[in-house]
Amino acid sequence: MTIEVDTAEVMDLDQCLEKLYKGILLSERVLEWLAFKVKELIINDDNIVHIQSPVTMVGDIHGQFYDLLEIFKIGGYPPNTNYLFLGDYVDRGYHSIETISLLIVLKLKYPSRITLIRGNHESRQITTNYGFYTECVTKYGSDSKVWSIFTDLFDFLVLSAIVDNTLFCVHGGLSPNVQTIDSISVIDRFKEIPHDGPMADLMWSDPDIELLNFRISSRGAGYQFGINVVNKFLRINGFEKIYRAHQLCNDGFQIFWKGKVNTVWSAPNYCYRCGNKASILEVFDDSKNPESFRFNVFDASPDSEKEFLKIEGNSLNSTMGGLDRMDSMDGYNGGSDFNETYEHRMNKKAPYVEYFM
Amino acid sequence: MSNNNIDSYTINSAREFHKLTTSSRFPPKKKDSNTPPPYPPPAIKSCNNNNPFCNHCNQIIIPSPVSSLPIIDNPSISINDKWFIITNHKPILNSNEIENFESILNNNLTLPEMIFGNNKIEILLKLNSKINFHLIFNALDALKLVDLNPLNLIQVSYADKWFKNKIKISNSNSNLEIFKPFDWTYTTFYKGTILNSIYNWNLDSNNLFQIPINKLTSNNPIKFFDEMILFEDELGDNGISVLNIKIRVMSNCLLILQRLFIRVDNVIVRILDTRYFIDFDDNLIIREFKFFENNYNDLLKKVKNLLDPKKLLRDINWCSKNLDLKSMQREYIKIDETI
Repeated sequence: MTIEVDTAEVMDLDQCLEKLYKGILLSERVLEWLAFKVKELIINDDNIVHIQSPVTMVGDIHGQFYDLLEIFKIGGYPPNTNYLFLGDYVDRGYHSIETISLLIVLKLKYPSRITLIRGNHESRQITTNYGFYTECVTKYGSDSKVWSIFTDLFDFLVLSAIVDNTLFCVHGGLSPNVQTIDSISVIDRFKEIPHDGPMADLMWSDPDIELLNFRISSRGAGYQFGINVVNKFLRINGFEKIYRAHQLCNDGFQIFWKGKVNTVWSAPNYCYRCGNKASILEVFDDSKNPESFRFNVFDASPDSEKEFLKIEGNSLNSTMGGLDRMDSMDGYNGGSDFNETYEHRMNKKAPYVEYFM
Repeated sequence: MSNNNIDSYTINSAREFHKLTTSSRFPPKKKDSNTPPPYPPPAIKSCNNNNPFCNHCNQIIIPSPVSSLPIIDNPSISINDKWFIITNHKPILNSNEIENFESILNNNLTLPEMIFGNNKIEILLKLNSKINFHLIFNALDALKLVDLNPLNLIQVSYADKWFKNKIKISNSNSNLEIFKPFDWTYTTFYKGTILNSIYNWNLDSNNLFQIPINKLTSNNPIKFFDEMILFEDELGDNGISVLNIKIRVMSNCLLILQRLFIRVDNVIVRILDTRYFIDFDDNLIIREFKFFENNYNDLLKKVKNLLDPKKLLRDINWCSKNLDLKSMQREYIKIDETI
């Protein structure tokens, strides 16, 4: 396996940044150092951080590193643009480590320009099920601590942000246990995301336009929330809008109740097969005009598809694999020619009759 | 904001321009080799000029779906001007299309996160310009069969604990509405939609019509292959439910596998397989349905890899080989061409 992991152990942010922009992984020692510095930086942050416009909000990325680079191309590179990331940096995509590494280096380099909120995938439980753990073991070896370095760091991420005192930003949504933002401030956030309670709801719940109040999901846990809940929350806290991520939408964003709740989704062609668009939300000023913000919609980066074909194509030698993304990492050995990518990606599996059995 | 912001629109148009300038770099067509094919060449046609034949194996190449441009890709092949196979690849539904779906389903079902509602596989048998058999696979018909009032509603692993805590806290403000229970795992016993058939299915109770693996193996060249997802849901990060379908067409037969894979983390793993085997020479259609199910932890015990055991539970192929078969049904149609 020839995934490029940098062996140098230079604790220098500029060098780290340069490598990460090229997609080169940092060494475990450096990651440990970076994670420590980030924890040191954000440990004193309140559970809710206050930021000012202009700012650009980014929804779920899910390890689609080349699409994150595309976001910077479209929205501007830090520190020229302020960014508020709404969580779910890891799992499902092929490059969770690259993604989270780049984001924490940017956070360290430009602390006041980058804000990272915790999403429901920034958790030990979820990352063992959805690929981040597998990616860490595949890329750094079974005796590495990389997965625990990152998941320990996740416990420190803040839970929500407020822009210009009017926009409430969170990964999932509202909770029956959160009437005012004071009840967010009192949460002890330095822990694994629990299964229930306000901290879980902030990261898990979804709006539903048919609803008035809260409803328990058919799954037997978690909430969906309706318009009355939203109105009450906005009124009590003096907010205008809620921005959140967490749910895939084909158009890259979704507007509920005339903009009172908005979903921002930033993983184009999700899981390399949905063909959906993605967006980032650019908030220019606090004037509340319709022109004060816009959803900048974009498609998947061609590099993202190229990486997918490279990894999928090479995985066939070693594993017949199901549909799951991370399982194919074993066969990664770089290099693929144009001829291969030209053909339909699935054609190579066709000769195997086992694939139908 | 900085001045060097670029609109995605600008980038897209630049890309399209770039595509125009690089299109000539596509590989040149190879001359056909002189080795005779192992089977007599059947009358197989590509009915769509946009789908080129592969230079190496003559298989029809289907372009992957594109979201940005509304390219219509409707690849289809025909065999002996009798059998027609049509497949369609599209991105997930947009919000308008989703609303349309919801109204058809009477809003009783919360739809899966990703619905490839415009994907389809269609099989037609035309004899004497009359359609004798018409089979189609699509997401909408599959979702129509999801149970809206399941007797045994599957719940996530921590549901009990969650409810107990709810009662303990008993927040008077929460004012919970009664939820519409539906089978949120999207278990569907969909076996494709028969739009039209002048033949009847016969139950293969004597086990006479097994799918002949030897007809499907490697020295029978594949003329057409396609694979697509009809719907997928991540079950709110509690697992996965994905309905996937693939087809391979050989000179004398075809095989379809529609597979529904459901994993509820720490609760249950299910696979529902529907296979169609059509023999063009023997005029035979076999439909086989298999239902596999295991408790999640029982399946986890079969994993030998102790370092990252859950990796295999994401591997649908591995699961299909290790789950217990709970039920099976096989039916067949003998096509009488004289009708």
